[in-house]
Amino acid sequence: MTIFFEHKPKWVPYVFILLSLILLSLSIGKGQEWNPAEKLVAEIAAPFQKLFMGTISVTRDIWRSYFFLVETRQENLLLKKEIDLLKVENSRYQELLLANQRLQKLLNFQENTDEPLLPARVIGWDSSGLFKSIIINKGENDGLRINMPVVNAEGAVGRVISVSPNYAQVLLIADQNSAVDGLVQRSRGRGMVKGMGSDECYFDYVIKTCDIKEGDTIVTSGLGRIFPKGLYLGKVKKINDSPNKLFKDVRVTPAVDFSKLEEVLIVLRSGFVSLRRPEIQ
Amino acid sequence: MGIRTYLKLWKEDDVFFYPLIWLTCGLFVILRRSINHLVGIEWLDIDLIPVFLIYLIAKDQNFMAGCLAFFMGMLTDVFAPCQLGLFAFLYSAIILGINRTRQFLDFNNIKTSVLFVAIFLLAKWSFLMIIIRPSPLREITPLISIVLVFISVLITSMITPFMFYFLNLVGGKE
Repeated sequence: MTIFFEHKPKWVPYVFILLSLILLSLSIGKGQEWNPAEKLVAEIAAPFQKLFMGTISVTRDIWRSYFFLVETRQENLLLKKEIDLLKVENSRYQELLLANQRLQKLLNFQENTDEPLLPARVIGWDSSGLFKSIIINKGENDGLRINMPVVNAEGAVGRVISVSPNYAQVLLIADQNSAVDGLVQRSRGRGMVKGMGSDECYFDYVIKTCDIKEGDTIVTSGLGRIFPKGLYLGKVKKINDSPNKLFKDVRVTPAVDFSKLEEVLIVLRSGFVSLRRPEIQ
Repeated sequence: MGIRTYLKLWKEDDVFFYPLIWLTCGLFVILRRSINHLVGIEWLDIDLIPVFLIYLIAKDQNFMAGCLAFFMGMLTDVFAPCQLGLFAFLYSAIILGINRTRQFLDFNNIKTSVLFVAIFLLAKWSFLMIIIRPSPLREITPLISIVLVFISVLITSMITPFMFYFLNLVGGKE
């Protein structure tokens, strides 16, 4: 190894800097999509992430299913009683559900549930520490395309920004490069949910006359043509209505707890918008 | 080739030691956020790449440190939603800057190495905060983020002597 590095020209580090600057300038304005070389690197490296996460998951499962079995019998008896109570409650909810379904049909709210969903597992996290993105175990071969929305049971998670044949990178809505058009569910006031790279988001461009208060729910408006309408984005945490500012300063707590993200659903939308290939529309 | 030949290669020619550093760095870049996520300390950004780079510089492997900085930067770029070349440029430029100062300082002194690990990390974060953080007119980077960066830098710097000791032990350089 040392023999290999013996003849070291002094200009090589400068070449590296020049090369990285060339790469940087070439990639500016081209979005964050993986190029073929990056796809190859992702295909080689992602299995290590998958293996690591898989090993951790198996270890955790063993821990949960074996070591946590202590005092299971008593817990089992209690749970059986609880199930009986829940059965009664469930029958009441079934009635309510049927009523809700009838109303949904009446209000033409079906557009949110029509689209096919593909489950995927989170196998890796952003490597820089500055951005908020995840790597999932589904890619082009599973039908994933750039800008497809990613959700989970809690609400909107993010959108696909790079795909390789078997893996994809998802930009979370909490990332500072993310912006999603949103609505205040109660008053239908408009704004844009922008990531801050932390546990909070901005709800930007909220006009002064907008009826919004702390605790209000923010949902997707469907106007960006990436996310379906009505997805839960978060709750209003803090409002600062400064007279010196054009818009209200609204902070939102995202609906999804990104620190506990393990499985996600990709909405396989036929009408998604590709920023780089508009002809696909 | 017997086991003695392998051990000789390991100790004298570093045939396995330096590839091991490359492999460790590669795995670290790919897995570090996942580890943070699993441990539940996502706010903490322990970056061990500068520790390895400063170690290589301390062992007179400047050229290898330059190569490692560039390629680990590229790998970080692939798995981060940023422009390709950003981290490669950042790591390469900082390591070149540190290399230029080596004639004035004694890198074999552990205190100097710890100091340079801290300088590397602070330079990295300063650059990223200035270049990447959006709309500085709207809001200055929250104080809490700066505090967290300082905590991360402090912890990484404190780990450095142990990492150096461990690497010396593995490389048979004690």
